Amino acid sequence: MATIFTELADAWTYDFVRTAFLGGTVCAALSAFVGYFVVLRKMAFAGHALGHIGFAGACAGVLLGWGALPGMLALNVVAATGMGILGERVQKSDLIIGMMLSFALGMGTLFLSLFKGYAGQATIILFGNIWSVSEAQVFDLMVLTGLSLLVLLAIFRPLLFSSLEPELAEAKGVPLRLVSVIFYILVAVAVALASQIVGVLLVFTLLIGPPATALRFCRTVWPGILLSLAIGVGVTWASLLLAYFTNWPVSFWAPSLLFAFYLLSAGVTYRRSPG
Amino acid sequence: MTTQRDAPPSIRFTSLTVRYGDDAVITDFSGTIQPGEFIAVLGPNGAGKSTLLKTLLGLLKPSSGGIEIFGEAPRRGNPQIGYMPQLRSNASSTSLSGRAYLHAVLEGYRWGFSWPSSSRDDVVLAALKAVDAESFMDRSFDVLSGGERQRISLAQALLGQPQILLLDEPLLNLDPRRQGELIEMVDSVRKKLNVTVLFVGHDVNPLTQVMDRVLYIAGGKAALGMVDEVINSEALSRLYDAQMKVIKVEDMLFIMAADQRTIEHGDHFH
Repeated sequence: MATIFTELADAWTYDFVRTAFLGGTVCAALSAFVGYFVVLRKMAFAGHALGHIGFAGACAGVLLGWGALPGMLALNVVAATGMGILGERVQKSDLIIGMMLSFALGMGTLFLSLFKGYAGQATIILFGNIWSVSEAQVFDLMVLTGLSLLVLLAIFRPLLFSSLEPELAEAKGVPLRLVSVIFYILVAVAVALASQIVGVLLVFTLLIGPPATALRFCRTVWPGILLSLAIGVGVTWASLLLAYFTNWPVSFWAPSLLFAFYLLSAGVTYRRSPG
Repeated sequence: MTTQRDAPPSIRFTSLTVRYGDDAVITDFSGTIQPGEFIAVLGPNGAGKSTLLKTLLGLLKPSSGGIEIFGEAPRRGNPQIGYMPQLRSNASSTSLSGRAYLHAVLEGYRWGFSWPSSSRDDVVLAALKAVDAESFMDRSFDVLSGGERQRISLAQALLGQPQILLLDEPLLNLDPRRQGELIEMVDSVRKKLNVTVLFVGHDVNPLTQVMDRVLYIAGGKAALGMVDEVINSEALSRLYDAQMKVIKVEDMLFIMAADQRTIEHGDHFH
């Protein structure tokens, strides 16, 4: 037992471990919070697609020399604004989103092939590498998370209302389209940040996994959001620790832990419900 | 009629014409609805019953003529109106409870967020009590029966003490016994709070015991009056612009087109 603690204390002395934990925490928290509404609105697939669109953006960013995150944020925000404006018919259409998703992946592949000699960059974008995040980047992640959370709290009530009962919300004076566009941009930012930890392919893990599990347990909104946050951040910490000690990737541990968690919660709620 | 003539009308229609796309839904319709009246809004599928509700909610503009709600033009977010949309949106398949759902609706149109507060808890609880939903208000929405969901939805419409209730097809997918229970509940709420009720339905028969008058929409026109004035062969033939027959069997009304197909008896259409 004692050796584990000394090893932990030892790990904590490394700067890259501390920045990874800090960066991972803020990214996971934003995803878990935004993801709660993504699950309520049943737009998980749209969130997943934004990850793939982000891949094209990240590759373009690398090619243009901006870096992956700025490129990803830029293209994601443009795509999210479009999706928000186009409205329900597009947002709920698996076909349209699927077409956009594959087109974006194709574009990303092209950009990568033009950017010769950096195949390793593709792996990082696809699967993430939170260990390589610099202190300056962590600062950016924190600022982005802080701003996104402020915006999310500013639209919290109309967002929740229109997620549950759009027709009624419109009749009560909620500007549906505006709320939808702002929310899509928040999803775009959350997806870009989540991909810093687990990569664009596994964004789903942090965006959908924690809130989907939380919604199985919590019948009310704020406890659900808090549980989602706890699961998202907890899983990220556990994954970082396990990855540190095993040298297996974070992108293996995070989805595996969440999957185990989800199975467990499904089992518990299944046994509790009589039907 | 249940109320005296000198009270200001809840709703006044003046030569109202409403179009939905290229189709006229209501043409040159005038009439008034008094506070506390129970109006059954009837007509075939797609005739424009929901369109009328949307116009009252301020979501659609009349193409000519006008509506006054307590003397004012319809506008979105009018607190005098409680609205129960058709039950088909997201809420019916989440694991949130009915109580959480009402909390989300209450002040959901305001920006920002709110901390839990006991005064809001009381408002939500009072609305849930008014529809006898206390026994299932903390259960997950997706395990509730159709009737229970409709009662939660009715409680939602009562938030903010509206003076007019617009109920869009609340009987949809309910069995006859639950339909009867819901109608009774709406009627008791109406009497207790003296609210005007516009109750959209397919079939006049479940409503005959409680309704005061009928607003019938068909063939791009609307008619408002006592059930015998509106639902008879001549009046309906004029609305539909086709030969219609109304047949009375005991206390039940059946509406038939000349080709003998039942037009109105709702359940045949599902």
